[in-house]
Amino acid sequence: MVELPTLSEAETRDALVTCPFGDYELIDFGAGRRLERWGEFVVERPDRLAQGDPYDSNWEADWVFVEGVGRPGHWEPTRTGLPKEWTLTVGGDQILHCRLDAHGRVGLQTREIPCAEWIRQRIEGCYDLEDLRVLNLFGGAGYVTAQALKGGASVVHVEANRELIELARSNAGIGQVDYVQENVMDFVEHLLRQQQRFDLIVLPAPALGHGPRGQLWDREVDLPKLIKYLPRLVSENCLGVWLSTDSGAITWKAESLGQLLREVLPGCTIETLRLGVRAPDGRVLSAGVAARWYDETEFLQSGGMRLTAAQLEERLDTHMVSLGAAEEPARALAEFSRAQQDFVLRCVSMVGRTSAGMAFNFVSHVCGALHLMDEAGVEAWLLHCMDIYDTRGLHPAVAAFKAVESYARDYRERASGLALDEVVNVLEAFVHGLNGRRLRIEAGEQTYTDTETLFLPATIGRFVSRSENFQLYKAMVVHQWAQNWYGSWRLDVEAELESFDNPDAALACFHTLETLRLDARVREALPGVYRQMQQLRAGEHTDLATASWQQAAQQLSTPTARVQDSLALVAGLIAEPLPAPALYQGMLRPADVNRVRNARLDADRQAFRIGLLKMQNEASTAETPADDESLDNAGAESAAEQPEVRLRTVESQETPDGFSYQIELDGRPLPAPDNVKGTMASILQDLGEIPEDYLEAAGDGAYFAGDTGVRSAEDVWKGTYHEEGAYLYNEWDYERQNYRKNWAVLRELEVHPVHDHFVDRTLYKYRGLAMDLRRTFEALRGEDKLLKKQPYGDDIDIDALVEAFADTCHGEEMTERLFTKMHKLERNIAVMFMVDMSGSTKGWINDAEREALALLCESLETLSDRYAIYGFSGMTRKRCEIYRIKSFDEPYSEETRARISGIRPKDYTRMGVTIRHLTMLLNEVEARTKLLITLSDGKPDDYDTYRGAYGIEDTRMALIEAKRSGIHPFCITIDTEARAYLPHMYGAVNYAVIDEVRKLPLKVSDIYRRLTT
Amino acid sequence: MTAQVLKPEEYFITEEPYYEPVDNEIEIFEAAYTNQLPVLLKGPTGCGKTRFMEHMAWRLKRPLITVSCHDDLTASDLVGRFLISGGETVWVDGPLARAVRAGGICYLDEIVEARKDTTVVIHPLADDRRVLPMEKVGELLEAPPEFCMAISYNPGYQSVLKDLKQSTRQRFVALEFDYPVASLEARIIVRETGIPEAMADQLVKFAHMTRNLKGSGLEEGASTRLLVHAAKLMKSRVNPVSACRSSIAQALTDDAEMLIAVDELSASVF
Repeated sequence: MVELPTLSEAETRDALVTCPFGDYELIDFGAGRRLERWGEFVVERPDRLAQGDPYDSNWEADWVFVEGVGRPGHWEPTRTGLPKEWTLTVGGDQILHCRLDAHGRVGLQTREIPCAEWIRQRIEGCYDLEDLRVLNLFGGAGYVTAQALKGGASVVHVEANRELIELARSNAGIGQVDYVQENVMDFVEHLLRQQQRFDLIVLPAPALGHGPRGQLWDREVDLPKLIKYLPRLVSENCLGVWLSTDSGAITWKAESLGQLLREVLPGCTIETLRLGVRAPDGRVLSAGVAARWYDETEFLQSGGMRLTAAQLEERLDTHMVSLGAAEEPARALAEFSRAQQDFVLRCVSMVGRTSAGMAFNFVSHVCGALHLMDEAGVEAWLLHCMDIYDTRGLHPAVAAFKAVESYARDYRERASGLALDEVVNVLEAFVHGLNGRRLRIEAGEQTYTDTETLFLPATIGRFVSRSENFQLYKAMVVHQWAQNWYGSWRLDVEAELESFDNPDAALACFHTLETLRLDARVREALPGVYRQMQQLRAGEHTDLATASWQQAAQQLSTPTARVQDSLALVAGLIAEPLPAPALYQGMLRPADVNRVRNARLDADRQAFRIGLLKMQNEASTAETPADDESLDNAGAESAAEQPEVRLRTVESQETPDGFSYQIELDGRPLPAPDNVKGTMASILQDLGEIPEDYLEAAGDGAYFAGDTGVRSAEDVWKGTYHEEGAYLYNEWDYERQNYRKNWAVLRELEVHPVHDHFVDRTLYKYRGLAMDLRRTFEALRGEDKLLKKQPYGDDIDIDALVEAFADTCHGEEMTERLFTKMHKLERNIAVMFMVDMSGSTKGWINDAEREALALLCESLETLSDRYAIYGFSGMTRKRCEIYRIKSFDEPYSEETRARISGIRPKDYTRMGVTIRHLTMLLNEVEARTKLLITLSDGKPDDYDTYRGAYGIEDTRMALIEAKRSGIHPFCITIDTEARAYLPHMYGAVNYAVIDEVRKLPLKVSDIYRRLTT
Repeated sequence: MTAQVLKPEEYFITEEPYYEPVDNEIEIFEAAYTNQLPVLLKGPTGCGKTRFMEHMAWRLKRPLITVSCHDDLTASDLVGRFLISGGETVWVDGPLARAVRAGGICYLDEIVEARKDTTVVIHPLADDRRVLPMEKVGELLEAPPEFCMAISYNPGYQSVLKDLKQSTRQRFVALEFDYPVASLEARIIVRETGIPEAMADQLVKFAHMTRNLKGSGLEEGASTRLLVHAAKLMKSRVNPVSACRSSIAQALTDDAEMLIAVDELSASVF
């Protein structure tokens, strides 16, 4: 005999009804009695399970049931005129009838509530509601029946008591329900004989009972027997069995119920429950025990009942590296609602596909996250961590998971405040509009500038309104810009303040002074912003505390005040109390500034000297008609006969100090190229002048010392694992429904040309076809055509006119078609061919592709459409490669032909990134019609996870992006199974499947012709 | 009120159009005119090219015939065509032929917009031959010494399609225009609209901010013409920020974020 696994007590969970449940409420219980509110009336009645002392000893009930000794009990009203029947509403829309009966019952039994809830969920989670039958044994007052009907099932309601049947009828109505007043045991045997089966069976067994003809129901004897009948009562796709009873005797624990069920109905999930009602004081009044049986795998899709820790662990385990890792998180997760549990499970499976380590960290922190944020927030947090994982790896991502609290804080702030992300473009454009060096804007922990980047808080939630928060951002930007523009960093602030005993205090004092000075400058230059800054400070205490501060402010507000003046004042004011800082002033970080500034000063000096040298060389070569040689060693010669460079100060409103320089060569002004002008402006902004030593033009060494900053893609690839010189593209992850940022790394390489006369041979091979193609394509060529006899046009058609005159003389009607019109058939098409160079094309597919391209190029040359051809391949996201065969502006040359010949199969097909890159290239071309034609032999597929739905969805998204930017994608494939997925990616009509590889060369040109006419 | 009807060649400018010379462009134009050389005006939109032409027409006391070029402008639109009148065909001169006959100044505005084949008909007029062949009537129209040809184009369009052919551009004396320096631009605005000088200064400051944005979000900065428009609105008591929004920001861009940024810039200045 097979021993069944036993159910352990630890598995049993509480299923509690929380009050108030609609109009029903358990007020108090104890000493064998319970006090309840049923709608308008409060009822007190006996309950064996109401153990312990009541919370309140003074119960004031409207109706009290008094048990008789040796005779039936009766109801006693506490005041006159109380009805014995009334109605109340529960569960939102269920109207229940109450009737005080002779057995002390009111109507609804509290154990019915969790049962009805579960039954209804089971029914509603089922797709096929056709003829869903529920058998409700011991149906009682009909709450479960009513709920099952509401779910859409039909019910057989069995109850021996006539009064209760009537009550059930008024509660559940009469549609879709059979009310059977019969002894349960007899009726079930009747059903078995009739071979009736049910999709849901509800069996709340009482301890004792009587049938209408006096038949006795004894739980201890009859229940095991009834349960044995169950396998013959359940339907093939039975949704579940509910078994419950009052836990009167020691034998009737939830586990024993479950065990009974398991013995007769093995193989499915059995859940054991302790039922109860929670009183307002927190105590639980037991309402019996229950066991339910159902097929859980199907339930997962639809259910609404919480999962137990064990169930959760089992599910989480599939995504974990080691068994048992999920134990603790599962326990924590068991506390959450089913919707939240499902959400977490969904997320885990999504993360688990990326990394098991990430999945573990996610579940370890998700409970905390769920306490802090709503689900949308948790999802955003998860995506944020996934992004970090994608870009920086597991460890930083784990740190991000751990930092859930600060993320949640930011998230809340973002919900109420303003995120930098939302306005960064506006702010960046704004600061570009102001004068001076290009300043970037980034989110930072602190608000400061390093003279090239402005660091701003990621969110601002200081004010209630978004516009005020935006104004604060703007004020911060202006203040930091002013530091840069009005020369706060022209001195080495760090060194200047070193001499103070307390450099930090000195820095704070200096910052306050600078804020005063800069505010004055802003007031003069940007009065609008200044007003807004003042408004932001409206709530603050802005008065300067002492007379010496006021004096300093006075002094610094003159337009000639310099940073030196602020610095000079520090010594006198450091001892004074510091005025409150402006909320937009952020902080100063002189060390960061020095690092950035020194690097820039060096670079600028170098660039300026090189610029000067170039200008000198150009000037001297222009003077002396130089031969080629002197150009080559211009560097060497120029040292000897270098014309003297001087700078003349000229007035300029473009610089903060009101002057700029004009470069003069031997006394003649020389127009500086833009880059030199830019460098000069940058130096002026940093130093306020151009020092003499900058004018010593750089020697040879320095000239070449400059890093050109351009490296070929191949060099980078040959070197280390570097993303330099490559294009980074996002990739769509359909599971996340979000982009993976900068996920795919793409390099543009060139096809190695093979000079083997492949194209010539192909043209010879297909010479008949080639001629045909040329003819058809010539017919397409856009040409001027003079259309005669037009109703309107540029000129008079004299021939038509003469004819018309003749007609009129004849007495005929004169035609209106008297004009000639020039009609230009303009073809304004740019087409991009994307050729699959994956390993799978090896052999004749590759040959066919190359032949097709050779013929196509010939045809396209006749048409003079602009076209480009790129091959693509790659392996993993880190190594996507695109091979240039012909770019748009390149003529079709011998070299191009050699490259067509040189197309060789490489690795895999990661299509999305290729499409994105080619879209970018195609968008740089101006054309009325833009086409992106893919020649492929199969589905998108790459070495890593880029296959199946993921690859298809990313490709599809890339194509959608392309379409959005006005490109028409089209796919020509030889994959005969492509009809299954191409319509999803390209749309119903934008693809062509070629059955035979042999036909590819013939077809491609033909398809192109059809596409573009 | 009736609008005056004038033949183009009779349109003499009698009142001096206001023009502030930036450099020696007036002298150069006059020298080119006396030497019967055609002139090419380069520069961004709204920097005063057309105004300059009006000013020169007034100065030289010649009628100004302006043709705004568009991509459907054909050679016969310029030279002339046959029309039918009373059962007979009649030749009607196009604006270019009229200008040649009247010895006026023919100004082809935005020449790159015209079709390539159209620009070729001006070639014989623009070199030392100074003749206009009229193939359809079989005539050759020789230009009198007073005739002058001027074309304009904006090199700022970065489209390869909108470029002037070398064979065309190498026939012209080129004058480069740009936005005037700040003080001069403010003076122009004051003179054109009569707003207070301080306000004009701020307006110019704002214009420079938008010009800083050229290439990083804006195709072009605010032109002097736009500034004059804004100043006129301000003169009519429109709040400066709204005036800048309607007449400058909206004219420069449709991009929502850019509009906000430009608005914020104008709000910072006023």
